[in-house]
Amino acid sequence: MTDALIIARLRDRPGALERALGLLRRRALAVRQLSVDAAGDGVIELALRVDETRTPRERVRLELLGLVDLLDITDAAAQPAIETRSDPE
Amino acid sequence: MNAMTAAEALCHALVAEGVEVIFGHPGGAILPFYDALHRVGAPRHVLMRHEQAAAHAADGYARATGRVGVCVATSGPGATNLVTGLATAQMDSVPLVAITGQVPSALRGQDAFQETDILGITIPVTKHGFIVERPEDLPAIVREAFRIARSGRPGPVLIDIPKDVQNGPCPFEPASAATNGAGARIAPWLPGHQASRGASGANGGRQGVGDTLRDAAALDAAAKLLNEAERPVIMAGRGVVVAGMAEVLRALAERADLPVVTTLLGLDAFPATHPLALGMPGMHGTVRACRAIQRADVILGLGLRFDDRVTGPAARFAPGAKIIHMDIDAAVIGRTVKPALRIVGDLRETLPALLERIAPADHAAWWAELREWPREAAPAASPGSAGPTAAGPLTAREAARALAARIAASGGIVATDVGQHQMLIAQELRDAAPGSHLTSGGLGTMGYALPAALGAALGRPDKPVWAVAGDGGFQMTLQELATVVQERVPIRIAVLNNGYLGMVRQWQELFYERRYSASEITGPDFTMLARAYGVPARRVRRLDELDEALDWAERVHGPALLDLRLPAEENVFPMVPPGASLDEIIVAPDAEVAA
Repeated sequence: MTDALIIARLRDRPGALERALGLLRRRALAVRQLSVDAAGDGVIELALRVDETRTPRERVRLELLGLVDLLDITDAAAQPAIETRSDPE
Repeated sequence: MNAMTAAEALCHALVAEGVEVIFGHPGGAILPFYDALHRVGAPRHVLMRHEQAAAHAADGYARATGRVGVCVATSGPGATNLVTGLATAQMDSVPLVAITGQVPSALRGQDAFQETDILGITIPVTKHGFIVERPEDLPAIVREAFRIARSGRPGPVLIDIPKDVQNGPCPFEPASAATNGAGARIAPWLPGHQASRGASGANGGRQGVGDTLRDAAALDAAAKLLNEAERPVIMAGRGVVVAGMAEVLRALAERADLPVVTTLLGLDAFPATHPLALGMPGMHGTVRACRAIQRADVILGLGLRFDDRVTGPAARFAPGAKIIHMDIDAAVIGRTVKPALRIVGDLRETLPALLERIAPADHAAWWAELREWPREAAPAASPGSAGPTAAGPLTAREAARALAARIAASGGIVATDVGQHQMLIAQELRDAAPGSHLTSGGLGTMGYALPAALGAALGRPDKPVWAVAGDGGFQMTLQELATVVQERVPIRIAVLNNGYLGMVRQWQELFYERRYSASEITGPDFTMLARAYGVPARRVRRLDELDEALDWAERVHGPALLDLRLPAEENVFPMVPPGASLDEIIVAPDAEVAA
């Protein structure tokens, strides 16, 4: 399983978040993890983690690019920012 | 800068966008706008009898003129009635602006009378939507809505305006020039234009290459594929019409002797009588078009989605072909069939650039193979039958053939509904100019034809306009006969009346062992009904009555209706059964084309 992390920043306008989430559902883009954050200055930041074996990151990117309220997309590293490891014992 | 209400500013903003006519139906929450419309006196308002028809009329206007169509409804049920029309426009990339009234801001969220979340409801079926929260924001939102509707891949945009916002003060400076002309159909700003930057090139191409270099390299690669192809096919869709690239397509095909397949929505992109035309592909396409696709080694797809009615099962579509997919919407490329090359951009830029790279060619051997398969959907006499006789009953095929010939001869526009008659007209249509064939291709909306024809006729008063519908679909929006009469719109209406939901019955006959469940449909006497509305009407039962009736309909000043009585159990062939590949096309019952 290979995860991809995609950060989409949207203008915070009525319906913007709903339109983005509806798009993911309508295009059957399976999301493993989702977080939404108010990034300030009228911007919403949407972080999507997808399983690339089911949902290629490029397909997610291309679909999101159709959103009028989209400001930009970042294809973040697939690796988690904080690594955890099991107890050495 | 003039101070006025937002409702008045909306009237001026529409005029500033070049809007001449809008289609709507008033109600409580949109009354400030209607009051302003009365005071300002522009744009012209056409009172439709149902909001769904208002959206279809705006759609027909937009497709026929290349401009943005505008429809208006009140809150609640008025707004929800627009939804089918908006979805129809969204699926077929038609630029619309839909304006809805909303309950006053203070009542929003309280389930107030006629309140509904129309912005939320329409999100999946619109390109974008706005709710206006401050009156002073309205002019800028209108400008942005029109820009979004017509830019990139066109589509419908909703503007929802609470009643108190309509009444609020709004500074407005009328624009000096209208922008809703044909030349402004595609604005340079494209939502999602980032998609084209980094999306062109070989599938999974490298990142970080400069845009221009990438696009040039992709075009070079596409040209190389086409120049070296032995069995090339062009598949042209509505994107060619929207971009105004029909002539460039023709030049491309003629330069390299390239066979051209046109989708249902691309029929008016390339003349069916052209020697290089193969006809329509897919479920009711021609044998020659379907076989060509399945045998092709290179397919150039222009402005189309490769939807399931065109491809059949994607995995079995064009098994030997390298597909070059050119479209303005990056997201449609690769969604169904996987291309070898993707070229994202406005066909007005990319198609001429490709043409420059294409070498003259001669594909005689390929054409010899293609000519072994029939190009016509049906010969003059249906296979296995003795054919129609002049004194015999009128058939749907003959009716569609005669109507299509009349429409072509007069340079007219035809709007069709959905079902058997839609496919028959599509099969029989000849030399349709861009913007002259209006039909709900993606959503498949019954009831589309009459209001769409009405809208088209108001947008193109220089053209004769026909609405062709079945008796089932016609009964979904026939109340618009009243609008046709009130507005004195001179459209001709042909109802192909067989007493069935014809395509449903055909599927039940072919795939459900003739169990005609809920497909037999009664209707009124359409000639009497039309006359009751004030529309002259005639009935035709025999083939030898048809020409004279068509002459009569064309002579009538104002609207006219023909009730064409047809046999109940006539089927539309060729047909690719649902779920089958294009190889499995059926020419007629008991006759299959060998794979």
